Amino acid sequence: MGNPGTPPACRWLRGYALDPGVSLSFGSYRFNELTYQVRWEQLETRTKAAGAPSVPTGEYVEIIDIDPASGVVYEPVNLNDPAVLVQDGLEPNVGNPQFHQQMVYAVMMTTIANFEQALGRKLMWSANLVADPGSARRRRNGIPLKPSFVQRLRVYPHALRQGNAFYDPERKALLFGYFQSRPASRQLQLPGSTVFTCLSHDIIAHETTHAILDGIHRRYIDGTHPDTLAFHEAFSDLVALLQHFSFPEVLRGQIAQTRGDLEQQNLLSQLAMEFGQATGSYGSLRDALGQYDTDGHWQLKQPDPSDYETQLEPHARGGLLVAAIFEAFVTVYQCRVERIRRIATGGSGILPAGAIHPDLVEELAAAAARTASEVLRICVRALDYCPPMDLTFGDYLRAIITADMDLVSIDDKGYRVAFVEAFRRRGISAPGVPSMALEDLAWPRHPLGTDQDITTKIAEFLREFAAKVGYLTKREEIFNETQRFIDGHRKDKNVGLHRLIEELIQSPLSRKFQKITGLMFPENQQACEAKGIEWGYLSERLASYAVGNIALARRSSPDGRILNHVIVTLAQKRGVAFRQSRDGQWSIAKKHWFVPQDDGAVPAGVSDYIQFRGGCTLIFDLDDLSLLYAINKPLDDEKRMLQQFEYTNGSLSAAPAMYFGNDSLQAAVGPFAMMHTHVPGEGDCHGC
Amino acid sequence: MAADSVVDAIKVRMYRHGFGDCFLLSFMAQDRRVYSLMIDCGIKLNTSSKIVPPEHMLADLKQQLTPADGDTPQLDALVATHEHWDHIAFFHPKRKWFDDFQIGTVWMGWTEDPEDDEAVQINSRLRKGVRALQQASRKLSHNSSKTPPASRSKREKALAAFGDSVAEIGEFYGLGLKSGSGINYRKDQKISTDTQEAMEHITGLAKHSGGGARYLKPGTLVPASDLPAGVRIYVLGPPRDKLLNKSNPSAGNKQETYGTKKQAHFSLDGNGLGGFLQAMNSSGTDDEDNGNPFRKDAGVPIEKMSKDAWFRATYLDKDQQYRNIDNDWLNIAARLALQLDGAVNNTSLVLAIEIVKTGSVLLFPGDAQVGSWLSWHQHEWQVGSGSRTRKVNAEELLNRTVLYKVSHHGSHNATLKDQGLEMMTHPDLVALIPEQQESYNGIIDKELLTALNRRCRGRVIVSADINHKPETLVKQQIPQLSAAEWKRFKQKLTVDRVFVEYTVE
Repeated sequence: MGNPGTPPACRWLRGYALDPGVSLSFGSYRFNELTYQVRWEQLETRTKAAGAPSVPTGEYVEIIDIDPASGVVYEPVNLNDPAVLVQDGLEPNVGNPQFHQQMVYAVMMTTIANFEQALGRKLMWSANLVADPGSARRRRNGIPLKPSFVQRLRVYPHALRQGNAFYDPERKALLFGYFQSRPASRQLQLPGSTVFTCLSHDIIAHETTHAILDGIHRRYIDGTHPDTLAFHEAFSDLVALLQHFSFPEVLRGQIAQTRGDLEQQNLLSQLAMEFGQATGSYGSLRDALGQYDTDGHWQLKQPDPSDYETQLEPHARGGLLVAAIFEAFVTVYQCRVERIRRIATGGSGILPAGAIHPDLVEELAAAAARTASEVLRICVRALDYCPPMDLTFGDYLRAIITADMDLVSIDDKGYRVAFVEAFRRRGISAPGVPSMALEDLAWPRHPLGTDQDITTKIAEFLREFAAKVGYLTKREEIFNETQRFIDGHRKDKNVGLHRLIEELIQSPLSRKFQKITGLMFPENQQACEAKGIEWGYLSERLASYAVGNIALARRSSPDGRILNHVIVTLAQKRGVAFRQSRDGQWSIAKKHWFVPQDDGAVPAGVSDYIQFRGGCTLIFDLDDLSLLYAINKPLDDEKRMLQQFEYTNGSLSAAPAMYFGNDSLQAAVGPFAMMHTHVPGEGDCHGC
Repeated sequence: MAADSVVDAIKVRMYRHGFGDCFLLSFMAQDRRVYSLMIDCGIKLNTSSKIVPPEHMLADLKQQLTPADGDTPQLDALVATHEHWDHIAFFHPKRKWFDDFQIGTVWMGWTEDPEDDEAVQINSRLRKGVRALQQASRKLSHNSSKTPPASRSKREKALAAFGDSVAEIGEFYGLGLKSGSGINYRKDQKISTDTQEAMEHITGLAKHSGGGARYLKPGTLVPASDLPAGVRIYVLGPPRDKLLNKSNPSAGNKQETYGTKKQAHFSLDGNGLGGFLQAMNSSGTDDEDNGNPFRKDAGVPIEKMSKDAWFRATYLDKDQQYRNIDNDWLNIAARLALQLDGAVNNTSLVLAIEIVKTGSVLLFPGDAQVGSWLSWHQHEWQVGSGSRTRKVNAEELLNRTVLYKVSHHGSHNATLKDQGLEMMTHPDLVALIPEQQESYNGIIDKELLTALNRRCRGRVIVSADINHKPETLVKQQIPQLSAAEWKRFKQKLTVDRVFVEYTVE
């Protein structure tokens, strides 16, 4: 035990492992309790008085349990109450709103911890852009904005009366709904009982992931490619799923119940589906894993290499990614437990009749949990190796391979091969790579020693950054200091990234810099606007661009190395107009580039257009000041422009748009609110 | 019956008064009218056409229907397809339009029958939904009006726009948001809407002057005694079963309508809406279940909590106001609105009118949507007598359709494709669309219009849309028709300022 006065390392909080409704179908409620191990943190208190009870508000999360539909607010749970601490939290109880708050807190903090561990840094929520009238930098359309630190995500466990939960990027909030169930199968849930989305581990983790991803790559909300919105959904579902599997207790019960057939390849996939069952559309991405046949047996779905070409709808597409990564997980798991299986069955693969030996159950469950954790970590780390916009599944696969190759020199479990294989079987490839071999898939390393003139300048700047920011522990300080490094503090002598870039553009290195980053910096304002790029933001003497993030990542590898990276993302945008030729072919109207306006206004005569973004993710090695990777999406990539236009043209939904202008509801609640409007138990009228 | 009183043609007069249905059908025998039938008379709430004020339409109706030797307009039958304002507005007692008409019978769908248990249930559900909608839209507009329009954030503007849209759907039920009009609270705690009053009034008029109301069931024929010789009227809808709830096409390959856009499928009483409806319809009494998820004392009323220091410092903090969720639970009003709209549309009385002599069929489906259309194919009618009886099904009726009153003003989900328009194979097919420009997004649906133009070979007549003037059809040769066909078409079509009239033989 530590010295008296030191805070404990963790706080134990009980929660449900499965949705309380689902557990009934497995007939074993014993398996439904899970104790989450949450990092200890100082919580805020109800008042400033000494001994005041705590409220569920900490460094990352602020839970305010207002229920507007019922006209009430539920008292904030006091997690520091000795009675609560001593029992590992409140007893799981569907009828107690304070327990709901506890569960949401536990799962959110677990998810956040997993991300921080994989990414090697503290998480930031996506910043709020606020008007900054005092700013010296004026944007051309007159509204100066500056990013403002959002410390905590606002969480509302009982916000809506719907079978829905969503993350709102504007309000930096999670809203959870509840509803009366009327299930397809009476056995699953008693009719008239209330189902709370805030009691589902998977839904909480899913929504938290949306928020986290929004903080890392802000532009992934844009639906520019069939893969982009699908990625947000699929990635969030994967995190929920893999995190769920990382609890061995959850699996113990299920594995014990299989009573023998260790060749049952499907168990994990089937479980994955069933976790999602009561949660409606949250589970529907996992329909890609398999289904029940007419005899009621669960069949694994065989992948089809034409899937990626043919499945364009975001849901189905997301399902592909989930299925691919899940398959990789199962493959590695099978390899891992092969030896155990051989020992347990004497090589036959068939166990003697009766219950499985508890040690065996333990080994299998532990192996699955370990594998799930590792796969989760791989998937999360890959985010740093992704471009800042227009992500495709192929890009993500390359990011996974590259990130893993950087960290783990010898892949003895075969994770990388498993990933590639699973993607390949679904036809997901990366355009432009010569083959699916690992070396070809990895992002090309920026050639050592080239362009040293540029990269040294930048890297020196970054070293200073690391020196200043590296020792800060408070997230607000990290945020503010990073902003200062981007802007350049007038009092400080330090240069500021934007001034550094200014220097580079005004030097002979300009062309090289533009090539590496994929950004465009025309010589003067006129030339710039003629190309559809705004002038003067961040630097008054350059084309506008935005710094997505500068982040320090410190990761330790299994073989004891420490990787110190700095990840910088840069972005620009331009307005691209299109015209249609007589035979119906669309092409870029190259005389009609336009600067995108904040209010969406477009120049007269432009009727078919997109807002196009380009930029790059730069990964620097802090130790030897070299640029490792430049993962870019060039702003002048005409093929990508056409692709985006063709995808977005005519993909507006209809019936809501008939009465509700596309702007009204969407703008009010953000892009995620309507995603999960399917409600469990409500079947579609198929076969009508 | 004498041979010269057997119907050999029907003149269909579509009024051009704006966005709404009003059709006067004159059944002719040897160029003499032997029977008159009016199908609907309504208009979108608070709108009108500058070119054709409603009074002109009324004047024309009176003039058409008043016999030479009398002074009371006489209508043999009146159809009210369903309870939407743009179909029944002018039946409302306040208008007094039809008070001095002599009406034979009023035909409505079984869904209006006060003696039918299922109908009563459906209507009570719908009224609850309508009331919930009004409450929601009131709350939305109340909350958004707290900030003056100029200083509203993007989000507040969007919420206000959303509230307006919800209110707009309320207009189908005659609900005026600003005036709070449209819903009346009766002494027995039951609510009634203006649309309901309109239906009740017209039924009352018919009872008073003629044969009362007939509630028609699908799969039946309108009794021959009600009709002139030589005419059969088949009742195709409203459907009796769960298809009543299906207003949107199924996904993917099962797509039954035109267009490739994806829909979500809603159901009125589904899980999502139950709690919402409860909250909206509750009168706040203690013993009523207003859908609260926990026991009564589990939460602190918001009013009371607003005095708490912690709540004031956090949720009520002025810098954090942008993170409030006071209204988010109302977003589902959108779902409710769409669902109500679809549900009521599917209660439309659907009639196929046949001129026995020629076999021509006129299809008037009201605003029936996907579920209704699909249900038509379940039915079979037995026609003829003695040794010449035979069975007729919906497909045959569609094959013989020469006039199609386009359902729901040309929206995407109200004209079925494979089992609908694609079965209307008659070379003389003509389509009528009663709508006015810029009334709603997506009306007229572009892909549907293309399909209609293809099927009708250009003979699509729109009542009050400046982008689709009927005058053009008679002035310029329609490219898809031959010169002879166009000439024939022009002979049958009369274009007037107040109406267009097409003669079907």
